[in-house]
Amino acid sequence: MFNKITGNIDFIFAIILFCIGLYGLTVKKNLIKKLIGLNIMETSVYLFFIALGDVRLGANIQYWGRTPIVLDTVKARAGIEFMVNPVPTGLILTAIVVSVSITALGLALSVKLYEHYGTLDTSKMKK
Amino acid sequence: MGSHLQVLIPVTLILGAFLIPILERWFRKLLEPLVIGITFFCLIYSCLLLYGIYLSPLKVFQYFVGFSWNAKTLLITGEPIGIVLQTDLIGGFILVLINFISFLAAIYSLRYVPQNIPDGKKGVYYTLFLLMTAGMSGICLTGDIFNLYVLFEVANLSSYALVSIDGEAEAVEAAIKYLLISALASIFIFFGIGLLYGATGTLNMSYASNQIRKVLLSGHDTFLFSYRYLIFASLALFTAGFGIKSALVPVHGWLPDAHSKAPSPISAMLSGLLIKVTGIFLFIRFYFSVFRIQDGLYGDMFPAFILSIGAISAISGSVFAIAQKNLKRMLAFSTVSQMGYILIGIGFFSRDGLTGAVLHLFNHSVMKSALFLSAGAIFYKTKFTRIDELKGLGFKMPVTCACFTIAALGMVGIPPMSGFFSKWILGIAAIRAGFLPVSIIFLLGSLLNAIYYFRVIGKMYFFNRDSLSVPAPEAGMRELPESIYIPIAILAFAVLFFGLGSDILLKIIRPGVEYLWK
Repeated sequence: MFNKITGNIDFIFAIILFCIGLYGLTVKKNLIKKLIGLNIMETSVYLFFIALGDVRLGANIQYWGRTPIVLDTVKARAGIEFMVNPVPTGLILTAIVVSVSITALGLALSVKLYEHYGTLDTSKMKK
Repeated sequence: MGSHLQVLIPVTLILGAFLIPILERWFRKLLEPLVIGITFFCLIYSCLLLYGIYLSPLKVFQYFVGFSWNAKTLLITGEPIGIVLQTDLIGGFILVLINFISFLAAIYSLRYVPQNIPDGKKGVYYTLFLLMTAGMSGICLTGDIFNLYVLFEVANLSSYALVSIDGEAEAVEAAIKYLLISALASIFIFFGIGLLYGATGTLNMSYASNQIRKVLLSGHDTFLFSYRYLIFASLALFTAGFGIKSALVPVHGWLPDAHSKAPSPISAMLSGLLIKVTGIFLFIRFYFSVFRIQDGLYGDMFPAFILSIGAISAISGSVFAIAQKNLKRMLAFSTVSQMGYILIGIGFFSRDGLTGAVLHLFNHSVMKSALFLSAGAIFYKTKFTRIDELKGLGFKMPVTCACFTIAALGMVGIPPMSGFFSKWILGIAAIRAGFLPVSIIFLLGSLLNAIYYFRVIGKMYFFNRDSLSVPAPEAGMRELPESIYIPIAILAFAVLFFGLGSDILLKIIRPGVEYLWK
């Protein structure tokens, strides 16, 4: 049991971060706090992806396409049995760009709303 | 077998989007002709692509981006390295729909945009317009899950900015509400992709579907057995994400604000295309191509759950619409109820149901675009937004109001219009699948549709000519500029044409649906 928890600690942290972010996004009234919650949620998914590519977790997550690109050549040349899966890293680089654009647009719209209403509190905006 | 058109369509649109800021700086007069030309060429390209897929023996085109198909580029598992664009008949069909509506919306924008959007923002508007079209076209073309996610975000991000483009506080408020809820949906989808990748080790849709099948058929004693929980969790996350994106009733709150505050051509694009491509089409893509729920490996409860969500949306969306006073807001709530109908068609997981759902998707897209563009034309001419201001308008703006009436009758489901035939196929599918109560929901929903659409038509035609609250346009003046009423007239003609000629569409949809069962 304890072995299962320590072996999957990355995934457990990813789920905890996801829930914290969901709380921030849905419960908090302040627009900036909502956007921070959104970013925490996104970060948790990045953590999840990166943990999927980790070598040490090969025993826990035996996904099929382990080290898909260079396994055969690396094995032949350097004798390395396991290596980090490069695909999740590539995916996350793309996803970070997407998340930065969403955050930037959200902050720009928040500034517009602050100029008009004088507050960032969503419950005070409808007058 | 593949075609270069699969790459050419999104690349043309994206190149156009990045040319526009340059043109806006130095050649302002070329801006609109460029946009109309690009969308027109993409319409022709997509028709050619659909025709090619229709004639091909396998009914699917595969294009390997940046590599060729040979033994060196395959992994041990047999999947290709890199991104595969895989377009089947349903994807090609939706692609034609996207480029058709966006071409008409681009013509419509020619005169609508200068009047309603600040002058300096014209270039931004057209850039975002083309990026949104490119994102949606790419979603229909791709066969790679992560590529799909990136294109999904391109389409969504442009739509957030387009909702708030006129810079008024109400529109900005609607846009940020839309952004926060929709970003939540895209994180759910992203997490779902992560779980799916963890369980299957591939991002290619057809290989992922093979691996999911292996996991679901594996016995208790194998190590694959525990992976099924990852697959169920990712199915749940995808359902939640696409459910939010297609505005099904418990999570529809963002739609009425965003769709009614946006400029009218954008409302037509959002309500007619974006919500369907990023919501309903991805439901079809994931449920039928990736998870393959139609094979019956997920039990009976899942279809029943999808059907009940669809039924709740269909009825309550209409009930909300009856209470609305603003014309565009009423049309937005009507979209919620029609999304429910399409989801019911998917929820049968039968060939008839899916045929009806795709046909209703097409018909609703054409009709709702016609309605939003007519509402925009009324606003362009008279600045009216409320329903009770439309008294006697049918005599002052005959062409617009006639087109509005045709499309509204189609939404209700009066026989010669196209809405009737798709609802008919959905009703037949309900009876064949053994869900007789669901066909009653279709009847009840049509009745509710009739209540709120006939109220608007009644306001337009059954009042005295003199009761119009603004002076009539001067004699000799045209009703509207051509670039505004021609798109509406084409769409209204399409409502009639595809009503009487729905066989043409079914000839494309039926083999496409059949392909998903292979």
